[in-house]
Amino acid sequence: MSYIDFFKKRNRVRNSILDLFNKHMYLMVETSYFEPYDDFIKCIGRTDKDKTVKVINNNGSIEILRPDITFNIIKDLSTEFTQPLKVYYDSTVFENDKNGIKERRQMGAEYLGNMSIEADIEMIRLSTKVLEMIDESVVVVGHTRYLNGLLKEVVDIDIKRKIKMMIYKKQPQQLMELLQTVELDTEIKDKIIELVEVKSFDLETLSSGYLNAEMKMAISEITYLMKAVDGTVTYDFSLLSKFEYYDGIIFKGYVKGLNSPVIRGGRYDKLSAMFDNSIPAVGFSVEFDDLVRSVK
Amino acid sequence: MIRIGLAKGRLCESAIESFRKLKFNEVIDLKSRRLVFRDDENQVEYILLKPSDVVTYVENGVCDLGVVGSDVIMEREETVYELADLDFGKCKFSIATMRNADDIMAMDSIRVATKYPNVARNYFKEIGKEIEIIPLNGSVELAPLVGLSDCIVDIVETGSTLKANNLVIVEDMYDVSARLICNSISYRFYKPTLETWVSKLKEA
Repeated sequence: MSYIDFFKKRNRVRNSILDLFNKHMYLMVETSYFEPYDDFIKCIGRTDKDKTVKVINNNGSIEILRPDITFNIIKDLSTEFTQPLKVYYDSTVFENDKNGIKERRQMGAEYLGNMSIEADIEMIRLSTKVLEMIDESVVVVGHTRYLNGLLKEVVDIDIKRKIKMMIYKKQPQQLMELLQTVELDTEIKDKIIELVEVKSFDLETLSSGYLNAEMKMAISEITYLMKAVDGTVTYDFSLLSKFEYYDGIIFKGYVKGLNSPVIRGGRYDKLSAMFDNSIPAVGFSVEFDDLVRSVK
Repeated sequence: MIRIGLAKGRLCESAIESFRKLKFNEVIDLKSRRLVFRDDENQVEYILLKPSDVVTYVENGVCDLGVVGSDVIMEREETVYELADLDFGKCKFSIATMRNADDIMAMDSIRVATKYPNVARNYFKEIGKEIEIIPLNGSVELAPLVGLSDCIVDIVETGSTLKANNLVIVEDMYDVSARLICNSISYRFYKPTLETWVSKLKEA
């Protein structure tokens, strides 16, 4: 594709997303490119610290180039947040990988100050709308509380992390071997194994099989969602996110032919606690460069 | 069209045998030198690959599915979904050393020759032993004999190669078998198909 054609296409895709966010009354915001490194490492469960791009300022202290946008939005807003707010961004994030520094364009939306499931629904609907311009795409929705409830009785954090990793990578054999060494009810073990089996999502069976309030909450929220959202959405309780600050509904958007999700999102009510505030929040980010590549 | 990467070598024939359960056309001809075989009627394409490349092809989504030993998956540490244990190609990861060697596990630092540096590193780290890895590409059995290493980490099927080279197993590490792996994105698009395939492939 020629230089001109490429940017024509890129602008077209960009404009249609901007239109979508504007139409739904989202406010465009900008954040700083920098974050103090000390603040960054205080918050666990974000980008891997080795992957951040470090810069040194005049005082000799280390800052990082933003690895995501959400964190800085919450930080900027935390001191003066008063009422529900819908914001979006269209910015560049930075990451170090084995080939050097990578610049990625991210667009995304956040619905802040609304703890009801209607906000989650709006976010999932918006993500399906973003993916509408692509022939083969799907949004997969999960809920962190299902697995967290299921693993409540696993006390060893190391084992818990391993189980989650094996579910993330869908490794039934290793998971079975690991569970043999862990003391847990057979019922719990069976339900953990079920998560990595190649099976379609069966809400009816799940609904009668919860073991505690957390799992019940996950099931009832998903039940509600399934009725409210249509389009190419599927459900999966084994869906996991690398970002540990997600708590509640999580979702990912996939495009056939790409080898990583093009949309990542979820509810993250607790992130603002880092800045001594409490802002319920749900949002998602779009890997814009990947999206452009897959639009015909 | 679903594209499947098959590992050439010890697993290939068993993989083809196992796929007979799906009742597709038998299009693969191992005697020919071709590497790509298509079954248009069932919308399936098979590609023959070097075992370690199967994981790369599936991870990148060039192949949707792959059949490969779990030894390779463990070594590569990439994110591919494992859909089924195919119950063939069974062997073990083991530590082996010379028949009359000293107790290598009692050494302060062990020199380990292997084709599987990641597997070896992780295992010894877990049991809290310090090692020095000597990465090799083949004939690892030779390493202890010529004094290159104190022991080897390799997959052991019958143990006859070890025996022929005067080596004995010190410790078994992990079970190994052939797995059906899937690209994490393809999984989202072919799930209903994969559900039927996996249940058929698991039938005895």
